[in-house]
Amino acid sequence: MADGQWLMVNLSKYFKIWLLMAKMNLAEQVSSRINFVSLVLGKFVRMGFVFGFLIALFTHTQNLAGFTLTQTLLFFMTFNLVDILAQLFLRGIYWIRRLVIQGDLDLILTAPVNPLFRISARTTDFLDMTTLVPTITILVLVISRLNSGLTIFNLILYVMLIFVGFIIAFSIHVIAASVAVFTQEVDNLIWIYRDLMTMGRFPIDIYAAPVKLILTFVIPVAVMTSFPTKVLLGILSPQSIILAFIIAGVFLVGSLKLWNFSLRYYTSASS
Amino acid sequence: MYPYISEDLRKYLAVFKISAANVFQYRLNFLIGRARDLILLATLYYLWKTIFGPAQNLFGYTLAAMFTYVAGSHLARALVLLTNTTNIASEITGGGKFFAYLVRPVSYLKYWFTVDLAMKIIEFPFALLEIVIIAKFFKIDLIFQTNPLIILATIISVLLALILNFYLGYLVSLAAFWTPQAWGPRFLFDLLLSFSAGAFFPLDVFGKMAQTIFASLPFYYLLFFPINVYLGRIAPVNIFIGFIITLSWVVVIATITQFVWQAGLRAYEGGGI
Repeated sequence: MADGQWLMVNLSKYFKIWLLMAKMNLAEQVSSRINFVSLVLGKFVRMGFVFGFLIALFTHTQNLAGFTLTQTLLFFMTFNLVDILAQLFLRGIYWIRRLVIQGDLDLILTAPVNPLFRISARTTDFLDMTTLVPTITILVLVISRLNSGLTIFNLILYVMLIFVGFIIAFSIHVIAASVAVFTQEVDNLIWIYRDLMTMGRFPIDIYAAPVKLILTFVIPVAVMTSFPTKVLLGILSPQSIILAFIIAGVFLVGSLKLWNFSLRYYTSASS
Repeated sequence: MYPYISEDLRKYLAVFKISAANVFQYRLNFLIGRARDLILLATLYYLWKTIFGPAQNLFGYTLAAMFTYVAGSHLARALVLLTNTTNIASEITGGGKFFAYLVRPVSYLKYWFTVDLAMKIIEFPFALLEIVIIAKFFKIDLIFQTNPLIILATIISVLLALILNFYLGYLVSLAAFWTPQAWGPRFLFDLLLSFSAGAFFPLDVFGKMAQTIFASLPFYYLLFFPINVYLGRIAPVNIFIGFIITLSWVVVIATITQFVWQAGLRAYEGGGI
């Protein structure tokens, strides 16, 4: 089979698996209607309050770290987009602890599907799907209100850096999954990541230099949220764009190596 | 062991000791919780420092008053908002555990209030320590209230807030008598409560109309009111009115709770016993 054909067959197979698991998950979530509606409303309330806070803030101040209201909202909505995408597709990794403790990881490791894909895709969070549409709508509205000259090139780079952000989020989740295999502990690591991620709600420029360095190179929240926004505003240097791709590459390769290494220590307890 | 205290108090003292021991049982969780708190405080520090810039006064707050608000809100989260009542719903819906309480010589409400109190008493000094660490690290100026009357008023407002928050959390959890899907509404309620109480941003940031709406809700008296009492931003007569309103909310919510509890017991089917 030619490489291209092999790739298409695999993509089609993985898409079918994802769709099947997503459907099952949707059916499960919708069966608890009160919870479903409450959780969706909760997500809107959280986003709405911060959005309202930023708008209220700018009635008293001219800028935030040199950024106008529209630009600050762009940072916030970009953060939401990357965060929702990660929640939407990677939520399954949150449950890896249970798989490891109960030995159910065996079933996933022996199936003819990439285990990381299987673990991540087992919980597609449709609650986040419902927030994705309004998030993108608001994002488009915010972008349309930008006064600076927006170019197609910057828009393409923006989408590419959002993808880079997703790759980094994926890598961090894989690192957390690997740690779970070693220690049977994942919740706290994920929650610390979630807290650090919320630092990306605002432009990275509000933080002091050492914090910026940590948020760029150690836990690259800045690369995931501030870099895409800045590229759209046309204020990100070409070196920083290249750096974003390098950081994503290093994180991806490093996390996959760690995952493979951690599997050597999987003891298959309780199976 | 405690010869001078009543039988009733002794029972709840035992619950208190067990609950306190439970907090330290999961030491890693506890320590990670501290790290998460420090991240939140550092983010808020940088945010407000940038927002203020060279400005001396914003929304009626000086920079020191704003940092004191953030510190006060952190302490109030530990002392007022922190609650274990989130576990009540899963107990009611999760099999026979709830039934066991009904046949024991303890009040379910007092039991959970004691559990809450133990957690708050343990969390408070750590929350205070986190404030000290952040204040020292960033060399933050905080306002230390010296007026004994205002300090007394702050303590009263915090105690009333603590009781009000407990009743609110308890009441919402009782929804589990009628639906097993109680945790979604609880998530929504907690978010609304946190934001409307001013846990993340002072409510003065928002416009007059929004502030009027916030002030008409009980959540306003959980955090925003006590902190502003401490900061001396509320006139004595308004502090007194605030106490009356908080107390009224406590009475109203407690009465509704009592009614819902009785109705809930009648609806309880004891699944899983």
